[in-house]
Amino acid sequence: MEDHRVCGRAGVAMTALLTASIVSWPAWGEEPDLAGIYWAATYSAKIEIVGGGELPFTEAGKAAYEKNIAGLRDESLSDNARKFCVPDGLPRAWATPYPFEIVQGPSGNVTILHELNHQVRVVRLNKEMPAYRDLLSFPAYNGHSVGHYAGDILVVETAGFNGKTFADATGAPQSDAMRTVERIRKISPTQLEVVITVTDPEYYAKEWQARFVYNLRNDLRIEDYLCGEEHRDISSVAGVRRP
Amino acid sequence: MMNAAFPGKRSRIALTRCSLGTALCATIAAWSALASAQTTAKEGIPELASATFAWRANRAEWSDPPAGMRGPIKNDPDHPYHGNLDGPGQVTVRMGNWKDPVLKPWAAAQMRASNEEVLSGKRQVPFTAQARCYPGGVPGQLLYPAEPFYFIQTPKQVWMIWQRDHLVRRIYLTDKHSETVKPSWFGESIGRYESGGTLVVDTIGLSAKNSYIDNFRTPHTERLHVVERFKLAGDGRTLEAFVKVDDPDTFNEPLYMAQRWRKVPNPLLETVCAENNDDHFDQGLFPIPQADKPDF
Repeated sequence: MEDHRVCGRAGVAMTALLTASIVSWPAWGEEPDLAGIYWAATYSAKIEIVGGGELPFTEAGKAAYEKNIAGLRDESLSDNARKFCVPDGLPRAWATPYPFEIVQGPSGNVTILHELNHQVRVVRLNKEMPAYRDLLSFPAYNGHSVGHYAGDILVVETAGFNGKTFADATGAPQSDAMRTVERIRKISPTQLEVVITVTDPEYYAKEWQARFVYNLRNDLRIEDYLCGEEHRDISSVAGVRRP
Repeated sequence: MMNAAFPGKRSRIALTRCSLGTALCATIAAWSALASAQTTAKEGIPELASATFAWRANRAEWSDPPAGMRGPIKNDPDHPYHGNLDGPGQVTVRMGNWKDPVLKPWAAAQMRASNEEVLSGKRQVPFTAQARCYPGGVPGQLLYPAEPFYFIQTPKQVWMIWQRDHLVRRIYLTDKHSETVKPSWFGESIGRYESGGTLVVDTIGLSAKNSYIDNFRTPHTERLHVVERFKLAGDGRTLEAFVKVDDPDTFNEPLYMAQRWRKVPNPLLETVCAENNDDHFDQGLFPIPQADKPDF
């Protein structure tokens, strides 16, 4: 009898606690929970664009791509993201066979930290894109990013790239006039989707998109990564070929 | 201490561990923890993380601990150091005092050999981790000057991000190290906040190759155990770390040393070490890390 009464009171208290929890959930329109460690299940050296087909090169883009392919083949050109582990740039950083993590912090920022090349991207929330002259003065491999939440999506706009990157591991060219918009959201409790729209009129006749999906892997820890050393086993990622 | 600082964690643990018969006491415990924690959380957790400010050191050498404690390795008195900021005169490189009696013979011999490389002219500039795009290890990374480092703090983790080459240390706010730790540049760091606003970080599993505890190229073994105590100084504009370095295979006793940073208004920028980092003046620089064949 005594036990029942205690259980009854416990039930009331639990209900109160749960109600309090529900009430304290973020209202619609507040930031979604994107934090966690994510890892791709597939990798493709050649970027796969949404809708299929080939990248919509301009004449200059086609010529630059052919030059890059030839240069990478005869080694007159080096892929510095792999050889010296400089940042991959966008969208290539998303085509990573290594885990990465998203941290919704510090307050006012979202920080994306990749295991590969220990790249760190800072997304400044609800800020204006830096002025054109500043983007020109301080070009960056991963550009300068500002973002905002739109419902359950983190929208990230990036400009101020340095034009020294490839769009993929085959050498698809990129110019410093490129701009990208990434839409990052959870598509299930354990899956993250990134859709990136790339605008680069110097090399591409129209904008194009790529889509990446990752599994939530909070059972992992991001490891140290140094160029040329032995790293995590990535053989489970389909499409990865180690030379 | 940690649970008191993070009530959500305690309440969840309390609820899952209690049977239904004890749910009432668990619930009350959870609520009281929540109530008390909101008053203590701010006092116990220093505000180190920001989107707009960071922490910048001016010195690339360890400062001394309080009097009476065994301090850091110093410059070889036979080869005084003259840095860029030391006024007129020929700038020299740092030569560690390999004769310091705290060093085990192998460590002294290695430091002497490193100095000899410079004295013989083989290298005009000896290995300096972050100048050559290597991680500085623990605690060596704390000596990187000129460019700031950043914190991110969440209830379960702390990140330290150096603007220089975007190197990242992760500190897991838990009370136990993993049973097996694969040695790595930054090892495994666990941490806790102590009352008075101190972040205490305990690190093991530090790989030894090309890893030094200072810019005198003082080596260590994988037995290195480092405890760092980060604390804001009175005005909140200075961050101090008090560091204990214990490695019985390298040092005859633990070393104690300190570093300080000033708060600087500086959002995190991309600084890529490998960019234009060639040996333009044939100084015999240590080669920067590179992959002879692509990783994938």
